[in-house]
Amino acid sequence: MTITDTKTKGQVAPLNKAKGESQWLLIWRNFRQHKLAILGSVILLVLFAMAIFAPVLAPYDPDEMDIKYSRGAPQPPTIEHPFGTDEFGRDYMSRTIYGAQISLSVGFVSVGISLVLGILAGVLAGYFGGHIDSTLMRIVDVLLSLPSLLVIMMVNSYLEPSIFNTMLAIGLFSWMGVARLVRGQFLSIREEEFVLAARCIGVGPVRMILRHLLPSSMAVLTVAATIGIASAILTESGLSFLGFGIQPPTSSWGSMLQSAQTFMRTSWWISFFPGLCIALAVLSFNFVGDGLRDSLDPKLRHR
Amino acid sequence: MTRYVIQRVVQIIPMLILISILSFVLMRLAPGDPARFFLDPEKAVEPEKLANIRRSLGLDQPVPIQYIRWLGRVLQGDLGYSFRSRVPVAEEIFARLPNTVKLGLAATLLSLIVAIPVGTISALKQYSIFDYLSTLFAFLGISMPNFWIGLLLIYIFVGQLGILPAVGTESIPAPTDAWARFVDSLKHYIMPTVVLGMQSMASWARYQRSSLLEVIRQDYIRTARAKGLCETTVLLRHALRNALIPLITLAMLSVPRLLGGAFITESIFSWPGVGRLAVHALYTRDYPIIQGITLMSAALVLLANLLADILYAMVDPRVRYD
Amino acid sequence: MKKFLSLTFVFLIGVTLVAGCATPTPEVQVVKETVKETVIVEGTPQVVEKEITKVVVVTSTPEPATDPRYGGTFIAGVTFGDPDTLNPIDCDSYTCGQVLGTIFSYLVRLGPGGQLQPDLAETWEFSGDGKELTFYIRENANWSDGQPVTAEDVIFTLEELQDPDAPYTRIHDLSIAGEPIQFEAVDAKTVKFIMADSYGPILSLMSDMWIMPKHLVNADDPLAGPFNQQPIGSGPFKFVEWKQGESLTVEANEGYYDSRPYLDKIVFRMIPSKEAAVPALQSGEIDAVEVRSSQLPQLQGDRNLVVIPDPDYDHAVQFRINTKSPILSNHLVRQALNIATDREEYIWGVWGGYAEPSNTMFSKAAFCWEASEPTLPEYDVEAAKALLEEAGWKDEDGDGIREAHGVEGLDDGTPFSFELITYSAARYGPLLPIAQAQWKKVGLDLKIRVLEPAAAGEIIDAYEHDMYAGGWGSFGREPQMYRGMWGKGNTYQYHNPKVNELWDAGAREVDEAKRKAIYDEMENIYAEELPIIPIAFDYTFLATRHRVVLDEAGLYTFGTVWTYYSEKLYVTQE
Repeated sequence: MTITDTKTKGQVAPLNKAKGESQWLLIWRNFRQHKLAILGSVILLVLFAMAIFAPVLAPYDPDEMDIKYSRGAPQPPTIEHPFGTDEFGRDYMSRTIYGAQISLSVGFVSVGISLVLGILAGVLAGYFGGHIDSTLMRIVDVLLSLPSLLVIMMVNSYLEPSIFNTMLAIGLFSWMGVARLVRGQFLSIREEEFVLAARCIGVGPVRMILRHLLPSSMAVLTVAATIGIASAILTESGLSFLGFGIQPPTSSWGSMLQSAQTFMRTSWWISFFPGLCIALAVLSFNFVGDGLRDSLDPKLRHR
Repeated sequence: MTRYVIQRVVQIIPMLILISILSFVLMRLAPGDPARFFLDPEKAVEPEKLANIRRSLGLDQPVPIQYIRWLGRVLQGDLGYSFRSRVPVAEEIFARLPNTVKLGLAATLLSLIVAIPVGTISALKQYSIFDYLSTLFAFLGISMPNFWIGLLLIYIFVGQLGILPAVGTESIPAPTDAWARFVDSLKHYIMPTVVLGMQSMASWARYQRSSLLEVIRQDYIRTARAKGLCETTVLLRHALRNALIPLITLAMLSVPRLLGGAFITESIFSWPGVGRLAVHALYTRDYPIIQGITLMSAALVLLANLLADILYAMVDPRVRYD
Repeated sequence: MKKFLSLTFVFLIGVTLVAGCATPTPEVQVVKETVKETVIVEGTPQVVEKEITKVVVVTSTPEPATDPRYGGTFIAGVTFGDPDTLNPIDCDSYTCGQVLGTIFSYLVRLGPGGQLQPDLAETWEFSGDGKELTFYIRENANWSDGQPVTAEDVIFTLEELQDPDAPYTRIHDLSIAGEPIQFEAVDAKTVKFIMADSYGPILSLMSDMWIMPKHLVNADDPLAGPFNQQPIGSGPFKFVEWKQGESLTVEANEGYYDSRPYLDKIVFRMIPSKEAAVPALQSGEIDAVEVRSSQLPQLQGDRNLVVIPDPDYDHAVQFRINTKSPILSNHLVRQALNIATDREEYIWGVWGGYAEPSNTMFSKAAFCWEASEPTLPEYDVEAAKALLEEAGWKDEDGDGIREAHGVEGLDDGTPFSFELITYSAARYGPLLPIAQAQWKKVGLDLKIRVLEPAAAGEIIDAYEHDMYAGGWGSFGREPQMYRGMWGKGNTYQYHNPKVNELWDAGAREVDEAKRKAIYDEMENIYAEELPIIPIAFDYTFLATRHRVVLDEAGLYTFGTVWTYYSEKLYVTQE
C-alpha cells in the first residue's frame, strides 16, 4: 500500500533519444519488449471492456432474483447460467461482469484521490522545503503509523459504507507514498541545471512546477499509479470481505467473496469467478507497472 | 548520531499524542453508541437504562474532558477498561499480543527464508526457466487476495485432506509430550503464516532479484572479479551483502504493518490475536480498546522506523544523519 | 438469554428434494412423541400430556445411544464472540449466557415442553390469593466454595436487580401494579415473595434469573471485585480459566446437588464466525456449534455429524415500522404492504426452506398462540393495490411508482418511496432485496440499506428510520416477556392505550385460559394496526459430532443444549 520506491530516485534522464522523439515514444518502445507487460495490458483491455460494455455483455440483470430456481442454494453452471447462480438465483456471470465496474472504478478513483492529495503534498513539500516540508512529512509519518486497515474501517463506519466512501477512505490513506515520491523527485531535481537556468530567467513558481518539475515525475507517478490501483483493488476486496466495504446488493468482486466461505464446499463457482477476476486485474496492473518501471529505468533495459 | 537518535525519540511523544487525538476523534465521529451494545439489539431500549450505562462508562462527559481524563490515566500507565468486558485494556491486549507477534514474526521469517534464495537465484540465472517461473509465482503471490488463498487452503487441508487444524494456536486438549506439542503448534501455524506472509514473500523475492541485479552491475563487483576472486566469494562477500541491506530494512519496516494487517488472517483462522480484538472492538464501538491498540501500534511503527534508520546508518557508511 | 420450548408441533415445508435441484438437501425425519406439559389452571399447576411431532435433520445415521459414562471433555463452538462479562446480573447476551448457564443456577428452570422444573428451589407454592409465593430451597444446594445457598442469596440478587439506577443489563420487571416485589427470608432456606397483586409471569421470570452468592459479591459495586473474573456459582460446573479470544474452561462441580455431572470438563472455544466454525467441526476441533440453514448443504454426507433443528424456533423475523414516519403512518398502507408480502419467497430465498411463515405478533412458543385465521387476506397483489389506491397512492404518470394524491401530511406528487434498513447484514440482509422486488409490483420504490449495528442503532434510537428488518426470540411460553418490545421507547412509536391496558390485565391474571383471551384480543389489534409486519419463524440448527449425547435421549431441548442441562451431557469417547 505504501510505495517505498528507493530505486528510481528521480533519475529519469532520457538516453538514446533521437532528435524530435518524445520521451513517451521511447518508453513505449521499451515497454513493447516487456512480454508480461503486454500480456497484462491485453487482460486489462478485456476487463475494461467488460466493465464499460457490461449492460450489453451481461445476459441478465445482475440484481434480478429467481428464488424459485435457486431455492436458497447456489446453482451450478448450466447453459442458461454459464457461471451458475448465487443463493438468490441471480445470474453469476452478470454479477461478475457488473462487478468489474465497481471493483475497477474503486481502484481508479481511490488512486486518483491519492494522486491528487499526494502530488499536492509532495509539491508543496518538495518545492518550498523548510518548515512546510518538515510539517508535511510529520503528518505523513503520523498517518503512516496508524494501522491502515483499522483506520479505513473506522472512516467507513463514520461515512457509512457506500461505493464512493470506500474509494474515499482508501484514497485518503494511500496518498502518503505518492507524496514521498514527488517530494523525492523535486528534491533531487531542484539542483539540476535546467532548473537553475529556469529560475535565472525568472520563471514563476507555478509555471516552474507545472512545466518543468512535474513532467519529469510523470513517469514515476504512472508506475506508482498502476501499482496503486492493484493495491487498491486488493484492499477493497479485503474490506468488502470483512463486511466493511461495499454492501449488498451492490456487488464488487470482493463482496461476492463474502458468501464464498459458506459455500466453499458445495459451490466452487461462488469463490472461483470473482477470485479469478481480482487476481487477473491485480496481476495485470502489476505486470504493466513492472513493465513501465523497467522501461523507464535505462539501466535495466534487457537484451 | 546520538543527537539525532535522541531528537527522533523525543519527537515520537508529540506524534503519539497527535495520533491518539486523531483516533479518539475519529471513533467518536462514527455513528453509534457503545452503550447500545450492552443491550440486545433485538429488544427495545429503555432510555433510562441507556443513560445509566453511558454514565458508568463515562460517556456523559463532553468529549475533550473524556480525552483529558484518558490521557491523564495513560501517562500514569493505565490504559483504562474495556467497555464490553470491563477488563483492563492492557490485559486484553497483552493476552493476545504474543499470538499476533508470533504470527507476524513467523510470517516475516518465512518470507525471508523463501525470498532471499529465490530472488538470488533468479538474479543470477536471469531469464532462465527458474527466473520466469519464480517471477510468475511472485506475481501471483502479490496479486491474489490472501483471504481467498486462505479459504482455499482450509478447504483443501482441513476439509478434504483433514491433515491440518482449522482454528486456534493449539489443540484442545494440548498434547503433553514436548515434541508432540511442537508438532501440534507447527500444524496450527503453517497455514496462517503462509497466508500472512504470502504477499511479502512474493514482493521481497522480486525486490531481492532486482536489488542483486543492480548490485552485480556495479563497478566494484567488476573490480572484485578482476582481482581474481572466485565467483562464490564475489557473490557472498560483496554482492549479496550489499543487496541484502535494503531488503532487511524493508523487512524490518514491514513488521509493524504485518501486525496491523493480520485482521483478515486472524478472522479466517480464528487466531486469538490483536487484529481480531480490534475488529470486534470497532464493531462494538469499544473506544478504550481501539485507543489502546492504535496507540500501541503507532508506537511500534515509529520505533521500528527509528530502529531501521539506525541500523541502516550503522551498516551503510555512506548514510549520515546530522 | 432464555429459551422457551413448547413442543406443540413442528412441521417443515417442502422437505424432500426438489426435482432438478442439483444441490443436495439434507435428509429429514419426522418423529412423534408424547411429552408432559405444565399448565396453570386457576392458580395451580397441572400436568397434562401432549403429543408432539419433532423434526430431526440427519446427515448420517446416528449410532444407538450408549449408556451414560462419566468423564471426558466436551468442546463447544461459540461464534458470538467472547463472553462480555462473567457476572450473571450483567449478562444479557448469548455468549455469556451459554457459559454462565453451566456455572449458575436458577430457582426454577425450564424443562422440555416448557414446564418448569425445580432447580435451586425444591418446591414452591402460591398463597390462596396468588399474592404470595414461597420457594423452598434445597438442603443440599451449595456454592462451589462449600457455603450453602440461602434465602439471603436470593434476596440479595433480586434486590440488586430492582435497583433503578443500576447499569445491569439483565433486568426483568420485578414489580407489579407499580409496586416492587418485597422479599422476606422466612428461614435460611425459605424465601417469600410478597406482591401487590397476583403476577402471572413471576415463575417464568424466576426461570430466567441466576442467583448470586451474597458472601462473594461486592455489595457496593457488584461489577467490581474478584467475583467478576472468578465467578463462583452453584451449578453443575465450576469456572476454571478464560483465555481471552481463545477458550473458556469449566470443570465438574463435585459438590453439585443432583450428582456430579457426567463430563469432566466443558471447553467453550471462541470462533469468529459460523463459516470458520464448520471446518473446525468437521476436523473434530469442536464438538458442536450452531449453524445457519444455508450451511446445511455443506454438512451433508459427513458421517460424523448429526444436525438437529434448534428447537428454539420461537425466533421470529419481522419488519418493524416507524408508525410516525409520514408515508407509513396510515395503517391502510401498512396493511397493503403486508398483503403484498409473499412469505414463500422469503422462506426459500433467505432460509432455504427452513422457516415457517408467520402472521402473528406472538411466536408459536407462547402458550396463547394458536393457528388462528388471519384477519387479513393472504398474499394478494391486487387487494394490496386496491388498498393503496384507497389510501391516496395512485400512479398517474405511468412510471410504475405511485405518488401521493390527497394523502394527509404529504404534498401531492410525493413519490411512494421510503427506506428499509437492517442492523445485521448476515442475518437479515438477504430479506431486503426480496422486499424491494416484491413491493415494486405494487408501485413502491423501496430503498434498501444494510448498516452496522452501531450505525443502525443510532438511526433507530432517534426514530429516523422508516422501517427496519429485525427479529426477536426465545421469549418462551410466557407472553408477558414480549412486553419489553412494546414499552415506552419502542422503536415503532406505537402507543395504544387499549393495548397497554391489555398488557397490564394479562400480567395480573393468573388463570391461563383467561389470560389467553386477553392476549388474543391484543393479537387482533396488532393484526389490524400492523406496527410490525411478521414474516417468518426461522430455524437455526445445532450440528454436533456423534460422540456428544444428552442423557435421556431426545432431550435436545431449547437453545443450546449445554446451557440448561449441562449435567446431563456426556461423550461416548474421550
